[in-house]
Amino acid sequence: MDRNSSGIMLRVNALSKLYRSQPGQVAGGVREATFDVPQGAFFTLLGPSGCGKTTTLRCVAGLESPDVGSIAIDGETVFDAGNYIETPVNKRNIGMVFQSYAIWPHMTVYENAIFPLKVTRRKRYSRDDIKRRARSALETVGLGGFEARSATQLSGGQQQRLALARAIIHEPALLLLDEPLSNLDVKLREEMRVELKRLQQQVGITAIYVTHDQGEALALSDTIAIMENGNIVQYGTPDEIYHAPANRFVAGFVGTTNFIDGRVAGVLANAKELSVEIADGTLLSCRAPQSPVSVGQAVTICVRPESIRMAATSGEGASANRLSGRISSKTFLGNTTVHYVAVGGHVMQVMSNPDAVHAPNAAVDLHIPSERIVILPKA
Amino acid sequence: MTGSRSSAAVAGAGGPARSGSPPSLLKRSARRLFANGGLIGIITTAIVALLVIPPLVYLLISSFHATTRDGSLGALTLKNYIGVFAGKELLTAGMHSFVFASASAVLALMIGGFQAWVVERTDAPCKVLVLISTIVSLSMPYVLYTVAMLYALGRVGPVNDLLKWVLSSSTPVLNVNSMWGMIVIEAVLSTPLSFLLLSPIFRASNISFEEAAMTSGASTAQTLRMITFKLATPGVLAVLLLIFIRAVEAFEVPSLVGMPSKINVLTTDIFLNLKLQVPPDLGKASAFSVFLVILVSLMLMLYHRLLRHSEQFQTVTGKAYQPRILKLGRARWFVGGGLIVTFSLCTLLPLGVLVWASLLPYYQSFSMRALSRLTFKNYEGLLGLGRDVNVIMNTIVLSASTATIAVLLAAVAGWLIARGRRWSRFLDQIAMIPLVLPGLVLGVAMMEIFLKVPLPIYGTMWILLIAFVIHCIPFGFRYSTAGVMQIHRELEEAAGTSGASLPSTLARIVAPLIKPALLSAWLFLFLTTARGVSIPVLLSGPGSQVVSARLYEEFVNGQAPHVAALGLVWTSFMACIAIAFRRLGGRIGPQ
Amino acid sequence: MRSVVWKHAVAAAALFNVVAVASAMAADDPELVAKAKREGVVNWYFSNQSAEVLADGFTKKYGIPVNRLRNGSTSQTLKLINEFRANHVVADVLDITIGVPTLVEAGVLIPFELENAKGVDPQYKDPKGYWVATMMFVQMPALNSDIVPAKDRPKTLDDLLLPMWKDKLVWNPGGSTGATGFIANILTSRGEEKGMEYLQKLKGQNVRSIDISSRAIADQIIAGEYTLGLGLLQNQAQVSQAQGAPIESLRLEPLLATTAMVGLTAKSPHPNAGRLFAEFELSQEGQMLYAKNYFAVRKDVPPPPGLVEADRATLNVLSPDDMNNNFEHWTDVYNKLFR
Repeated sequence: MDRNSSGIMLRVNALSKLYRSQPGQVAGGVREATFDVPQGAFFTLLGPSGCGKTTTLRCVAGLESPDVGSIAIDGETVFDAGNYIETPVNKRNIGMVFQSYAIWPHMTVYENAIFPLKVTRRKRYSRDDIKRRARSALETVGLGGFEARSATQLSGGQQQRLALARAIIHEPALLLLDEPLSNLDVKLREEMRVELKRLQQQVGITAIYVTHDQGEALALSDTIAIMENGNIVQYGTPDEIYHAPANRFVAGFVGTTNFIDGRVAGVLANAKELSVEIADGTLLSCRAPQSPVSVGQAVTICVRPESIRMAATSGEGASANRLSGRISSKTFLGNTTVHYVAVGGHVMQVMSNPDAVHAPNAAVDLHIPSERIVILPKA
Repeated sequence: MTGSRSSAAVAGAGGPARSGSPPSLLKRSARRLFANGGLIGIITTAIVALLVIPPLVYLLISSFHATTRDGSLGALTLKNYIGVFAGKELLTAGMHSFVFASASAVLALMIGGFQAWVVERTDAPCKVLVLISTIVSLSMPYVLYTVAMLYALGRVGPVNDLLKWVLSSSTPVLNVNSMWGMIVIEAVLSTPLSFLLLSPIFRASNISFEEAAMTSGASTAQTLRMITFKLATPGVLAVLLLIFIRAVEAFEVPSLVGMPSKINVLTTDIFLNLKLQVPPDLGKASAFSVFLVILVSLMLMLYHRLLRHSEQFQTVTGKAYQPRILKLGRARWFVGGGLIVTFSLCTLLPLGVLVWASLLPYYQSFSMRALSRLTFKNYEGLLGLGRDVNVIMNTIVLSASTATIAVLLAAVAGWLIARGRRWSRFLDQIAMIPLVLPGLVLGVAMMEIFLKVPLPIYGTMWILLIAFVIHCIPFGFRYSTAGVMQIHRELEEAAGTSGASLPSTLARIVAPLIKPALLSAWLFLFLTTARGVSIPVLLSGPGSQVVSARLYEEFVNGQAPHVAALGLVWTSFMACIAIAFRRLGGRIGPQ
Repeated sequence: MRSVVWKHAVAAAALFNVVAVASAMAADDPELVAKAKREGVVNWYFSNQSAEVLADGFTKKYGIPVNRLRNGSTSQTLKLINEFRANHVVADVLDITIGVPTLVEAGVLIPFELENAKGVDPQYKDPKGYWVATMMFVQMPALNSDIVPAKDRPKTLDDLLLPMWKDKLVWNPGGSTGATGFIANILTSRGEEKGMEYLQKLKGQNVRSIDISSRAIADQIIAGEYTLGLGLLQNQAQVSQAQGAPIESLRLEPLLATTAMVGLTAKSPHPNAGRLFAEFELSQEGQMLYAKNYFAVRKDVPPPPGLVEADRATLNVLSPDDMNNNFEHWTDVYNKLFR
């Protein structure tokens, strides 16, 4: 059993699968994807629709045949274009939850759940074993007592739970989830999100999760891979992704970001900070980025709305990282209020405590902590 | 959905007449009657009923009247029914019929289902063979096909010769004149129908159900068995029912294959008596048909019971409407081999026998000596047939218009039925009636009706057209219901919420989605009409003759080699039309 | 091959009765021809495929086109009865083999007299004048001559009861050939009692029934699928044998003959053209066309290849009335003994 000593459950290497609408015209797919997922991790492929995340997942599942690259699950190579290895989907030791759940209408809840145990050739399960596992799996997802129900009598959320039970009942090496929450309503989605995380940790299974919802990705994942146009553009923990986006696309896609164009004016004495001059001539000091930038280079600075502190104009002289603006409009969101502030030539979003309300047209000062500014080279 | 609700409302409106004044109630009821597709239901049901009911009424009337020598209706009597049920061997014949019809239907379903699945859902090679097979079989008249199969499987046929050589036996190994012979040959004849009806079901199934099974660890075979075929069950049951009924009333195979060994089925037992009489005993034939009508209605009720939860089987959702082509890997050559085997047995073998026969001065089994006698004389003899251009044109015009009208009618009606709209149950019942009207009875009924009503179409193409449309209705319906059943209701509902009217939803959403099913239906009905014999025999006049009836006489009275040559030429002609149509069909719209 | 037969036939006819030909040609009633030409067309319902040459000959001679509708006798009967009852008769003249008495009973046909039928034996004409026979189909059993050596071939009908023929015999039910024809021949030539005795024994031979035309039965015999066919038409074996096929007709006497008949319809749209067509059929010219394959009813026309003039006297001819009155009985015998 212990052939996989590395602790890597999924290893995807230089995987490409391109769809062509016409010869020479690529209409989607994934390019050169490489990543590892360690045992027990919750790994998310995040990106807008058409970015290649589902294709990647389906390649891992074996539902699509990649053009090149290799895939290893639990140390066993299931696909290797170079060596002509391709394990069929049913022999890959995976469980998968589909966006439409794909609960078979001609079977009961119980029959749906135990299906993987009945068809597998890896192991023979005794009748008692099957019953026990079914009970445990259904109870884990909160469907205990539903065994005899016809699958068509289940609500959307229940179908989702059943799909989950079915995917884990045979204790696969990988749990693949293809936008499983997208068909649920908001309240249920949040509940299921918590449930899913609890379940994954309880079972200790390695999960590969595909979604376009950054909130889900941040909440659930240990590691996130952001995809754009078939490429993985960033790979990291939720915190890294959120606070240190690798490019403008990531910064814009995950959470809300204010972008301000500027130019590197100089390096501060401690060498860990830069000063950037923005359009109206204000100088902002920021943390130096990992990739070196030179003085005079055009850059984009990114600031999260919740990182900006806002106060009514005090009339004091210019202090560090302070911008002056005027409230142009606001949106009340219940737990927070978003103000749109006109600064210089453009509008910035500022998120603040709901009771800190500023009247339209009021003059405000914005303070931006230098450690919350991300500098990206201008595209 | 809305259908059932508003029909309940109509029922309720009849009760509390006390409150509303009569005219407003009437108006209200009328409005309800026509709402929610009611109008389309009424119009379609009216057209179908107008086509189907008169022959049925004629059937009922004549079944209760004695048939007199001059063909008029005699006294009211139950004798016809007694005559049908008093036969001492009715039970045996009934059993034979049941075994024959169910076994051949199941076999045809298995072969056709295999072909449909392979063609629609896999990357197996040699798919084109199925197409060739289907077109060839549908183009070939039944009698010719049956006779060719008899020669192929007969005592001195190539199959027995081969088996004799392999098993070094001195006597023929297979006796085709047996129950299995009947079953196999009937199944081969029904396979194209089964293939064509099952294709849309496989084409339109929801792929994620299968993917879920595969990711659960099911092998391809397990997925097929436990998911794909199970989900296709309602559609498949409908096809099975249709083929079963057709086999119950099949005449060619039982009489050519079973009778020499005295294996009688209902049709040979009862119809043979009728056929031998001049004029035929229409009363008894009608009584037998009434019996079949009742049988079929019972089976349809059973079918509806099975189908009550049809919604759970609706399989095409808006999402991922692109059936996955299964990569068979190394198995593709194995599966392709399966196609080659079925092609060889169902098509190549009989076709080969015909080609062989057509090149000989007289029929003989394969031998070196026979090889030296090969000649094209039989084909030269056909050149004279070219003068019947107008007969050929008649046939093409008739077949094309029949197929077009029947398909259009079936598309709307099939949708009403599959969606359980108002009138659907009734429509479904009456739509199946023509299936059990023997061609002879339908012919006589049409003749009686149109000689009496003041519509001067007797002896013209119009009467043939009407009769063939009636004949084709059940097949068209099964095609389109099978197609519609696979489309998720939400796709239509989305059109409705986008503001599309019902006709526009039908035209813009339903029709394009079931287009493949309708195209198959058109082709099938075109070819069926072109080879229909019993209807034109009675209904065509000197100016409205069609090829099939002419050919039939040639088939019946001609010598085997001449018949083979003629049959091959006709079959290739029809096949050319079919292929041309498919080409055309491929270009209609962005498929 | 056919043209050779034709030449023989023409030569024979010329030898037999040159005068008759001349008189037959002269017998055309100019008034009838004129009226027929004014009607312009004739609608012909017929059942025998080889009769089609007759329509060509007619059009060639009189310039009147023939609208043809070929169908089995049963369908033609049914069709005509319905047309008549609906007062919408399309056919003018009709040629079928069975069903004529039914049509007479239904009132569809009218009595008529033909100039050209005057010399025809009375047994070929309806005493009441509703039909005239045009030709005879002679039935003979036939066997596969490759399978059966000459010494084993049956010489009499009783030879068919020998054990060696068990499971080897085949016929088709229905129509006037095959089983019905064979049973009719036995019962009419031997009488009911002796005949049934024979048929009881024949039952033990386990005769196979296939519901295909007698022509197709002949092909099955040629192919070797079956050995010996009963109730085949004489000319079928004749034609195939001439092409080299291993089939041999058996002269098991008496030879059965059934007739094809011409009739004229009541309410006919072109009565004169119809009558002229019937005249043409019975003329020596028309009869010669039939004689290529079948026994013509006119004595001044030679017998078909394979038969001789002397056969005419020994044939067991079933008249339409015989056929009509006993058909059901023969079918019953078949159903009871052989199905």
